[in-house]
This record gives sequence, C-alpha cells and structure tokens, in this order.
Amino acid sequence: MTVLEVEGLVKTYGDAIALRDGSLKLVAGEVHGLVGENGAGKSTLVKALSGMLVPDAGTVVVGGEQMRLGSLKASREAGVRTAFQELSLLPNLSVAENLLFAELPTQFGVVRRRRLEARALEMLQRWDVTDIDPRMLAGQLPLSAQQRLEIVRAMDPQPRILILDEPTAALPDTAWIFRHVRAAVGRGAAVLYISHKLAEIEELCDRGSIMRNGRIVGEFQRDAFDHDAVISQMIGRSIEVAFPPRKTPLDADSKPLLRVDKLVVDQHVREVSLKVRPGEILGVAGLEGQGQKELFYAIAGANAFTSGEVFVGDDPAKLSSPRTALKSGAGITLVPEERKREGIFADMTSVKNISVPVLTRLSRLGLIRARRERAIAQKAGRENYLRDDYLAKDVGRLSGGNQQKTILARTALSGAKVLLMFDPTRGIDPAAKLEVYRTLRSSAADGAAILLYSTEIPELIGMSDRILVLYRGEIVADLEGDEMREERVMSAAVGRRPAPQASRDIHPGEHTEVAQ
Amino acid sequence: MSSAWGFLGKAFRNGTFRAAVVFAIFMIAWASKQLGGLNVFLINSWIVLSLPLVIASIGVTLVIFTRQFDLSAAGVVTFTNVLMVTWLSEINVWLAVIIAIVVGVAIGALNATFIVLGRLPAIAVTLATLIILNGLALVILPTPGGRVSNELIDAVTGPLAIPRGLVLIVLLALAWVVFRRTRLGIYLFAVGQDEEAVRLSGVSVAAVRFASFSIAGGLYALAGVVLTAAIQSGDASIGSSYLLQTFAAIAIGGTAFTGGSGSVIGTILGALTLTVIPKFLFVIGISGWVQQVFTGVLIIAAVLVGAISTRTENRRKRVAAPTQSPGGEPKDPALVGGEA
Amino acid sequence: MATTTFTETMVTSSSRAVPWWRSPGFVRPVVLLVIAVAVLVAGRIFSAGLPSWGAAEAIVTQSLFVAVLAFGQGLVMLIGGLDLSIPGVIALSATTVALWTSAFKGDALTGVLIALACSALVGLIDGFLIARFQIPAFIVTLAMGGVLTGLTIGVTFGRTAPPSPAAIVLLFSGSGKLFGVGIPVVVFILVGIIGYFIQSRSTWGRRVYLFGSSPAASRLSGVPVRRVEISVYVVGALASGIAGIMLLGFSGNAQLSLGDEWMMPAIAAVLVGGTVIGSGYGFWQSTLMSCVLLTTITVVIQATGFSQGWKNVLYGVVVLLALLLMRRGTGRSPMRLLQNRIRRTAGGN
Repeated sequence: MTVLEVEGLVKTYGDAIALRDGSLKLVAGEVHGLVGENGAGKSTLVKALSGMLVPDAGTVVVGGEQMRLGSLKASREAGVRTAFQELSLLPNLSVAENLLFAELPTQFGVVRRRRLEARALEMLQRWDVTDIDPRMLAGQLPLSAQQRLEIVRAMDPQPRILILDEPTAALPDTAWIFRHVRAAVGRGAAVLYISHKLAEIEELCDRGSIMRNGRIVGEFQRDAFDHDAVISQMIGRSIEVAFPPRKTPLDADSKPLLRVDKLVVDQHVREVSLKVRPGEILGVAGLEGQGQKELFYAIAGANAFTSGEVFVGDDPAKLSSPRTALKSGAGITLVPEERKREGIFADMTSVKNISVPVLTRLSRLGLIRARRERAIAQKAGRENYLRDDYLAKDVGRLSGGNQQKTILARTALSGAKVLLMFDPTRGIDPAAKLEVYRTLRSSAADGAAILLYSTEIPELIGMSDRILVLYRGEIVADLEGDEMREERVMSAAVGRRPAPQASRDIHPGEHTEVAQ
Repeated sequence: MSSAWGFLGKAFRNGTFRAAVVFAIFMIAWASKQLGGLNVFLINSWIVLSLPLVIASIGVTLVIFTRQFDLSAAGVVTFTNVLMVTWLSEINVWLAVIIAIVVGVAIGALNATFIVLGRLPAIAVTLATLIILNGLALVILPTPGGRVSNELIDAVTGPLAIPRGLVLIVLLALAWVVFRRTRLGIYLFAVGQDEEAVRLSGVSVAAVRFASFSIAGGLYALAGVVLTAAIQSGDASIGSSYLLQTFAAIAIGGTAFTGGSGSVIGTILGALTLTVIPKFLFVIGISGWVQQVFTGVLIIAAVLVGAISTRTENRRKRVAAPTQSPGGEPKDPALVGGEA
Repeated sequence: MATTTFTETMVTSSSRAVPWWRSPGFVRPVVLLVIAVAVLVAGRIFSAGLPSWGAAEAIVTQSLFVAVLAFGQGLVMLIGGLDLSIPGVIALSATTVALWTSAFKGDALTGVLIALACSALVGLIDGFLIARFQIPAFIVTLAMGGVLTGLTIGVTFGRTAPPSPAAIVLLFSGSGKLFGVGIPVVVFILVGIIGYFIQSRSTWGRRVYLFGSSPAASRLSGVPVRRVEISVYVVGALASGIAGIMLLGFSGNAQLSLGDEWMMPAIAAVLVGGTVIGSGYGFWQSTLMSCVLLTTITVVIQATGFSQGWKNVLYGVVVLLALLLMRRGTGRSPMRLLQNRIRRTAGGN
C-alpha cells in the first residue's frame, strides 16, 4: 500500500539546480533505499520531505492526503520523521533533555528531572541502547552514541514514514540498526534508507531508487540487485572514465615538501606524523570526527595545536595564523570544509573572490586596477574550468561545483605549494568533480604537495598515491599500491585490525587508466 | 588546602560568583566609608533608585540568552514613565500599571514581529524602536512634569522594616530560579546555543523568540512604572543612560553576549553594583565627570574579564570533555574491533 | 577520452552580467535622490519658502556632517559592528581644537592634527578590544563614548564651551564661499568622491568588504583580519573626529552636546542606504544619497514646525521601512522587485 508519493519536486538555489525532478513512491512495510553520489540531490530530497525547505515545485502525498511543504510541523503531523546526517543534538543539554526536548515532562510548569530521566531511560531501553546514561551531557558522548541517539529520536514513537540519512556513517556495524529497521517495517512503517554503502543497501532494502543530477534515473529490486548496473547509473558514465591519471611519474627520491612530526591537537590528534613529496597526493581517510579536521586546520595555521612540528621544505612552518602559514616557504593553504561559511565570499563576484591573494600586486597607489584584476581572475578561472560567464556573478548564487572552482582558482593564485584539501568534492555535481580532479593532477604536476581528505573512498583510491587512515586521532593504516582497496580502507577506518582475507570487494569496477 | 584552592578556582569561573564578589566589595566599601554607617533609610533610597535598572536589565538578559540584542529597553522605560504621568494618570493606578505592562509586552511583540517574521537584524530593529519610543515620549511630554499617584509612590518606596524594593528583587530572583527549570527557560538557552538543533527537534524557535522579546517588554514597562514612583514625575529624557547600563549590568553579571548560558541573578548583582559604585565614589569625594569616566572604564573592564573567561572556559571544555575516556579505551563496547 | 562531454546544466537567464546602469550600485542612489527632491518639492505644502536654492544649500551642508559620520559608521556596520561613541568623539575632537586655539593660543592646524590623532587613538583602543577579545562593538564604543564625554567635561572643568577658531568657522559655517556656494557644498562633493574611491576602489576598502562578507574565508585566504578589523574602527573614529571639527565650525563653539543629534541620522542613513549589517554588502553612493534624503526630511519637518519628538519618530519609522524594503535573500523583497522591473522594462532578458 503506497503510503508516500512524491511527484516532481524541484529546488533551485540561484544558478544551482539541486533537485530537478524528485519523484518517489514508498510502500508501507518496505525498506526503500536511495543511492546516489554526493551532490545528486539526496539530501535536498530528504530536506524537502522533512519540511526543512520549501521546494519550488512538486507535491507530496502522504496516506492519500497532500502534505503541506516547507513546514517541519506539517511533516511531523503527516507522520514523517527523519534522522539527519548532520547531528542535531544540543551538546550542553543532557541526553534525556535532548531525547525528550519537545515533550519535557512538567508539573506546574516546572520540568521534573527524575521523571524526565526515567522516561529517557525507558526510551533507550526500548531500542536496546544500554550503554548511554541519560544524565550525561550529549556533547560528551562519542560520535557513535550521538548517532544512535539521533536515530532513536526519530524512531520513537514509531512514525509512519521513517527517513534515515546515512545512519551508519558513525556506527561500527549495522546489526543494531538493521534489527530495528526490520522491526519497524514489520510493524507497518515505511523506511527510506539513504546510504552510499551499497552492501548495506543490498542487504536491507526491498526496493530502491537511484539519483543522479537531481532526478531519479533508475530503480532496483532486492532480488535483482546488480552492483555494477547500479553504480553505472549513479555515476552516469562508463565506469571506466573515473579518475584522470597522474600526469608525471612521482619522483621517489625527492625530499618531502611537507613534513609533520608528532602533531598533537588536544585529544583529537595524537602524535600524527606524515610526509608529502612535491607532486605527491597523500590521501587521508576516516570516519567523521576522527581528528582529520583538527589535523588539517592545525597544519594550515587555522587552529592552535598542543605540540609537534610542521616543516615546509627544510624550514619550520610559522603557523600562528593562516596568513603566516601562507607565507612560510613554499606556502601552505587550506581548501576548507564548509564552502558557504569559510570558503566563499557569497556577496561578491567571482573575480573578487579569486583575486584575494594577489590584491597588493594588483594595486597601484592603494587603488585596485580593475581591468588587471579581471584579467588575472579570468586566467585563473579558466585554468580551473570556470566559465567566463560566471566571473561577474555573485559567487553565492553559483552551484557548488562552480563555487569550488572559484576557491581553487584563488588557491592557485596564492602560489602556495602545500595544498590541504578538505573534502573538495563534497556536494558537487559529477561534471565539476572531474574538473576538480583534473585541477588536482595539474597542481601535482606543477610540484605541489597535496594532502587530500575525502569521504568518498573510491575517490581517494583513484586520486592518491598513498592513503593514510585516521582513527581516533591516530594513523592506523598506511596503504600503498595494491593495498589501496575500499574494503581495506573501510575496515581500518572503523578500527578493525587488518583482516586476512577480504570477503567481498565493493568498489565501482576496475579503474582503467584513461588515455588523455 | 589544595582542594580549597581548587574549589575557589572553580567558583571564580562562575560568572555569578564573580559578580557577587565584585558587588560585595563595593557594598562593603560604601558601607565602611558612609558617615554614620548604613541605615535602613539609606538602603531603601538606594534600592528604590536601583530597581528600575535591575528590572530592565533582567529583561535584556532574557533576550541575550537567545543570542539576540535588545536595544529598546531604555525606550520602553521612558515611554511607560511618560504614559503613567499623562494618559494613565487619571485612572485607577493599579489599572494603569496593568495597562502599562500590557503596552510593554505589545512593544516587545512588535519587535519580535519585525525580527522573527520580517527576518530583520535585532540590533537594527530594536534601535529603530528605541528612537521611535523616545520620539513619542518627547511628543507626549515635551517638558518634565506630570502627576504621580501617591498610592503608587507609597507602594514602592513606603516605609517598612525591610525595604519593599528588596522584597521585589528577591521575588524576581526566586522567579528566575523557577523559570530556569521550566520548558521555556530551557528552550531560551537552547535557542541561544544552537537554533538549528532546536528547530529540528520540533520546537518552534519563532515562538521562543517571541516569548523572550515580549516578556522582556513587559519587564521594561514594569521598570518604567517603578521608575515613575521613584522619581515621582515624568521625564522624556530619563531613560537615556539605560542603554549602556543594562548591558553593563549583564556584563558585570557574568552572562556571555554569545547567548546560551548565564544567570539572571548575576545580572541583578551587576545592576546593583552599578548603582552602588556612584554611592561609594560620592562618599570618598569623587563625583561628576570622574564618576562617568570611572564607570565607563569599569564597564569595559567587566566585559573584558567576561570575554577572557569565556574564552578560557571554552578552551578548557574542549580539552576536558573527551569523546572517549582518557585512557584511550573506547567507551562503547561495540566499538572494539575484534582481533582478526 | 577528451571527447567525453559533460553538459553544463547550470545556465539560467541570469548568467549575463548586469550593465552598470542597471546595477543596484547605480539604481539605488538615483532612486533615493529622486525621493529626496520629491520631498523637498512637496515641502511647498508646508512652507512657501520651499523649495529654494537656499534650502538646498542648507540641506547639502547638513548632509555633509551626516555623510562623514555615515562613512565611518557604514564601514563599521559592514563588518558587523555598531559605533555608538560618535557623540563622545565629536565632543572630544571639537573641544580639543577649541581649547587649543582659545586657551593655549595655538594655531588651528596643529589643533586639528592633535584632535585627529586623539580620535585615531580612541579608534585604536576600541578596535583592539573588539578584535582581540571579541567584545560586541556597540558596548565597547558606548562605554568609550561615556568615558570620552566624562574626560571632555574634566578637561574643560565644566566651564562654558570654548569658542571655535575663526578659520574653522569660516570653512564650515557656510559663510566662506567657493565657486559661489558655501564651502561645505564643495567639501560634500569631495567627500563623496573620496569616499567612493576608498570604499570601492582601494585595496584597503576591498579587504574591509571581504572581512564583512566572510571573516572566516578572509582569515583562511590570508587576509590580515585583525589588522583590517582594528583599522575599520580607527577610520570610524577619525570620521567622527573630522565631523567634530566641521561641527565646531558650523555651530560656533564646542558644546558638549555637539554630537548628540548626529549619531542616529548617521546610523539611519547607513541602513536606509541599503547596507546590510555584517555582510559585505553596501554602497557608499547609496549611503551618501540617503544622507541627503534624511536631511531633506529633517529640513522639511523643521519647516512644518513639528517638534523634535516627531522627528525622532519619523527617523525610526524610516529606518524600519528601509530595512523591510532592502531585505535580501529570498529575492522577494520589494527593492529587488523594483530593480527587476527596471531591468525588464529597460529591455533585455
């Protein structure tokens, strides 16, 4: 029995079309998977269903009745509950307060603490969560516990439609969540399960949809699950055309351009050491919150660190601020995590975004030479596959891919040779992704030393010369050549020791070198 | 002995405690230098003149908890004062008080409408409101004057063993202690900490913001009523110093301007400190412009101390709150990777 | 496979850049100026003396003071702050010059330099406290303003206000003429031009906009953020200092309350001009024209005989209206609709 019908959802942000045509049908008692690459539109679809944003067009019908869009309340009332990918707990409140935030038990208006904690405990026990004390502050829990709380909040009381967005991102295994999802559908709920781990999708979902470029491009069923077909529909191109190859061979004897010695950042990064040679791309893998952000930002001079040393070439880097890091020897610069907040200047044109590092060079007597600025920005933009059309537009209105290209153009102009790239292809459409990969290859060929963090393991494998895996602030694996396989990386990322035999390799086909 | 220092160190990190210490220092200083010592009469007159600032500052504090700023307090206080001695002076005084408070709440709600529904920056909106209210007050009462009911004056300043103002302050403090434990109290702080998380949890951030501005408006009006009784007349320029002083009281009281934490009791102590200082300075012979300079510098110092301690507090929190236990052992047994 | 094509799917109708005469940087100031002229003409209803060249000159003269203040305040608001120390700095600056020339028998030029140096120092202290310790700007400047007012009283020992030096009076009271108009008019034009170059064309101005648009991105791209932030407050205080000297000439002596009535108009002018607090969005041209508009409203109101109180009410209402109309974001704001309408009727897609 169809319980949710989504038809023609559209959502654009200025120039960027996040959702072109979202259409979906959920059936009660079924788990429906949703797969797609980053930037395919999954998150936007989820936000639209949950009421977090107002789509530009389209309808959602729940149980035969049309649901009002753009209101969290309306979605809840329609029976839709979501466990979001970004955790929404309040760190300074207790677990109990977080779980029952909207319905804190009161007497004469005052919240009854003991009753609150008792009810929270009950709730946790209902879902087999026995290791979390409801009195603890939510911010002090490990990430896996926080994620479980987020999921429990969505599942309790059982909703008609449960949406789980990447629920296992921080969980060590799937046993707990699979058990409860199956129980929920057994009781008649419809579950929309979003994940990029195809193994999970195959195991759990009855049916599913594949998204690419903002629309549903295909569907799959459990009994006829063809990995390769699904992946090729996700990527939308022949799986052979995945990652551009190295342009020049790596000089194994060259001295490292970036050397990090026993870096410690509070308790997030514990004595991490690494070396990157000019022309090398060193990949960093890890689940969220394992210290990679602290590591990158510390090396870039954006965060203070507790101890350790960083060298650019032979000289110690001055890391009191990103500005001094940029000026240390060959220069260190960071392409940050949150584009919108720390990467772009949304109200300003692309030209102005790109020219930041060379402003003094562009000015005479304190005034900026506008024509020269435009010329330099245009050149840098073109080298980063940014179309001239976008130069005069406000960057805030560009698509994620074009925003990232602007940032990369700026990075190129800064002249820094040590590039720290933090998930540069997050939320970018596949076309732009390829262009970013090409840019990375060119930079490497020009002698840059690149430290690349990505949440997409195939991307790391396709682009890196070596991969370090970070777990709980430490490097637990250093993989090269044949060892760079998805299953190997994943198991290190969740903290498992090396397994003798991989059961089933799940990666998007063999990477054939693409002749340029 | 070390545990005593440790306790003291921990206590000093608490803004309210610091505020209490600062207040005590100035209070004792005043008492010791005051000729003839402090008597009930002196204390009463001091409290009566401090009450409006205390009450208004509490209102601003509530808004600060939600990470917003409200600059309109001074305007509402002035406007209420003017109303009380003109339009509301002929009717039953208690009815007038109620009407005045309702007007204050309405103004707060109006602010909230522009800020929440209009999605305009709070600083700009409340600044505009301040200007408008000051203007209206001037229009209604161009020169100071007006009639104040004796009943009201007696109610606020009347003789009693314990100053009535003190009773009111204690009541407000108690009200806060209770309010902090209510849903709205918790939501106020939560909105200041992470608005998005609150919204995702199904609680209406807009409603919480409306409540904060409206309650604050009501408190400002109450402050205006008390002020009317205290100065026993109306004056359209009376509220001008309140803008700085309300925020100063909050700063001295230890509440951070970034919202999400703090205490009304700290603000009460901060406001009282601000009104004790001129008394102290006066009895040691300093008055006039030096007082102004001193107060200004003190405010800057208070905010500075507050900002620094918030910084060190956050840094401490980041180090001390591990995502796992210090020994490196994972807290979650399920997380232990089995030996292959 | 270089032939693999990836369709660029993001082209929409707004890809084309808008020509300069349709951009908000041009449309807005023109609209504001037109409204100002309309108000002045409408003033005829209240007073037979309006409109007149004399009134226009008075308007421009008074706009000058607001404009200088709005320049500094505008930059401060661009980066998310609010400078409430204006009356204090004005009092300090004016009193310094007046005292120097009257009590110390010094020359006007040295007095001016000392006053400006003091203003800059105040701005430096403000900026340092704000940038280094992240204290909200309005509190720091408010407290500092109080301190300065107190110091000014102390320095003059509460006596009557010292008189302005003749040279400065000549310059700014409107009695000195250049090209047939009062000097303030000429200075107004100069301020407009210089302000434009500083804000929109200079490297420093660009850095201020970058910082206002995104402090985080500025920091990561290597902009010297702390230096920029402090310098904005220095410039703000300098602007107040300059305004103080001008007002000294305009009013004839250095009253303590010299600057009181100029702060709100300056803030209002910045907001009405469309600057969004704490973003990198704002145009000096619009701010300048809104100074003219607000001053026009003031002058017309004075002609009608309405009281000071109503003036304040009107200011507040105008600010609120401007805030509502100038909202950005969802693209449904009336100003944007107006701009789109102009864009469409002027031809093109």
